[in-house]
Amino acid sequence: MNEATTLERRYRWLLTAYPSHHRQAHSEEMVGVLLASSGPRQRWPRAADAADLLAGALRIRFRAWRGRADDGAWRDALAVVSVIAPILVLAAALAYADLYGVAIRSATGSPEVPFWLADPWTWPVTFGPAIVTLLALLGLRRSVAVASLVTTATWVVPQVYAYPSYLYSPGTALQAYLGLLTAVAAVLSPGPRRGTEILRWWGVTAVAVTAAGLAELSKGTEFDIPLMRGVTPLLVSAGILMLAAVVCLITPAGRRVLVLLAVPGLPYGMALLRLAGSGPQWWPTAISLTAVLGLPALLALCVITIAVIRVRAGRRLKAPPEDARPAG
Amino acid sequence: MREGLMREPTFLILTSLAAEAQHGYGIMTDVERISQGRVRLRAGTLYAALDRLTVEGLIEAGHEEVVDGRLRRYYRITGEGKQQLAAEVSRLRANVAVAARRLGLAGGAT
Repeated sequence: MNEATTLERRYRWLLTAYPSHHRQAHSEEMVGVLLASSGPRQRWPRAADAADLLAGALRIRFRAWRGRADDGAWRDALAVVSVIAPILVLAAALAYADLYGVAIRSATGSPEVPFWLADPWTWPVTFGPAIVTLLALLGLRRSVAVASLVTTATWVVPQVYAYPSYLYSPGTALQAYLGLLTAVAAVLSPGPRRGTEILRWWGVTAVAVTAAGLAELSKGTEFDIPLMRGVTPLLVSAGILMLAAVVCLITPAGRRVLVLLAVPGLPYGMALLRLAGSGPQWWPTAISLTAVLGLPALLALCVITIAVIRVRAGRRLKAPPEDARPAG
Repeated sequence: MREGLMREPTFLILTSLAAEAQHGYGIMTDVERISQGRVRLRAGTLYAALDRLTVEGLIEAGHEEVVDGRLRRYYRITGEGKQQLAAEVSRLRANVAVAARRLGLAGGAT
C-alpha cells in the first residue's frame, strides 16, 4: 500500500467524525483537498490538520443540532410544565399540611384544627402553591413566575435558618426545584395558557388526580419517602410514575416534559435508591448536599440551557431574513 | 448578518469567490495569497465555513469535475453574498479612512 493510499485511508477515518449528510456531500472533495495540501511522502495526517478536521466536525454537528428546524416542542414542553409543576407542588403541599387527613378525620367525626394554622411560617408552603396553581390555570404567565419564585423563596429561605437539615430532604428539594422550574418554564414559554390548551382540561384533571394520589402515597413522617410506609405504596407510586412516563413518551413535547420533570425528581429517586439499598438511613451531609442539591442544579442548568438554545433557534427561524442570519 | 460582524475568514472566502467560482483547494490557496500568507485555512475550517455560508445563502455549490480521479466541486458567490461583501468593504473602507486621516497618512483625507 503506497503512502498516498495510506494517508487517504487515515483522512477518511478522521472524516467519519462528520455527520453522514456532510460526508455524503463533501467527503470526496475534502479528501481531495487534504491530499492536495499534503507532502509528497506523507503517511500520517498532520496533528494540526487532524485537530482542525475534528474541530470542524464538532462545529458542523453543533450547528446542525442548533439549527435543526424547531417544531416548537421545547416551547410546548415548557408551557405544559408551567401548568404541571404548580399542580405537583400543590399536591405535595397538601400532603405536607395533611389536609386530606384533616378532611377525612373531620368527615368521620373527629374534627381537629390543622397544625399549620398555628404556624405562620408554614403558610407560604400551604397557601403559596394554591395561589400559583390558580394563576397557572387562569393562564397568567408573569404572575405565575413571580408567585412561584416568591413561594419557593419564602419556603426555602426560612429553613436555611430554622431547619437546615430539611434542605437535604428530597421532599423539600422536589418542591424547591419544581417551584424554580415553574418560574423558568413560565418565562421561557408562551405560558400556562398554552400548556392548558395542549393538555386540555381533562389532561389537567388527570395530572391533578395523579399528583394528589402520588402525594398521598408518598406522605410520611420522615423525608416524605413512600418506602418508609411499606412496599405497597412504593410499588403503586412506581407504577403510576411509569404509566405517566409512558404517556409522556408518546409525543416530542411529552418527552421533553419528562426530561424537564426528571431534574426535580432526581433527588427523590436517588433517595429512594439509597433507602432501598440500606434501609431508612440518611446520607452523610456532604453527600446529601451534593446529591440532592448540587447534581440536580447542574442537570437543571444543562436542560434549561438546551431549552433556551432550541427556543431561540425556533424564534430565529421565524424571524425576518435580516434578523435570521447569525454573525458571519 | 448584522453589519460589522463579518469575520476575516468569511471575508476572505467571499473575496476569493467574488471574481470567479473556485473549488475548495483553489479557495484555500487564494485566501492564503489574498492575505499574503497570514491566513491559511485548513480543510476542516474551510468546509465548516463553506457549509455555513451555503446555509446562509451567501455562496452556492456550482458545477463539479473530476481531476486526477478526485472530485472537485466549485463554489460561487450569490447576489446576497456580493451585497454582504460590498457592505463589509464599505464599512472597512470608512474605518480605514478615519484611521488614516487621524494618523495623517496619505489617502486618508476624505
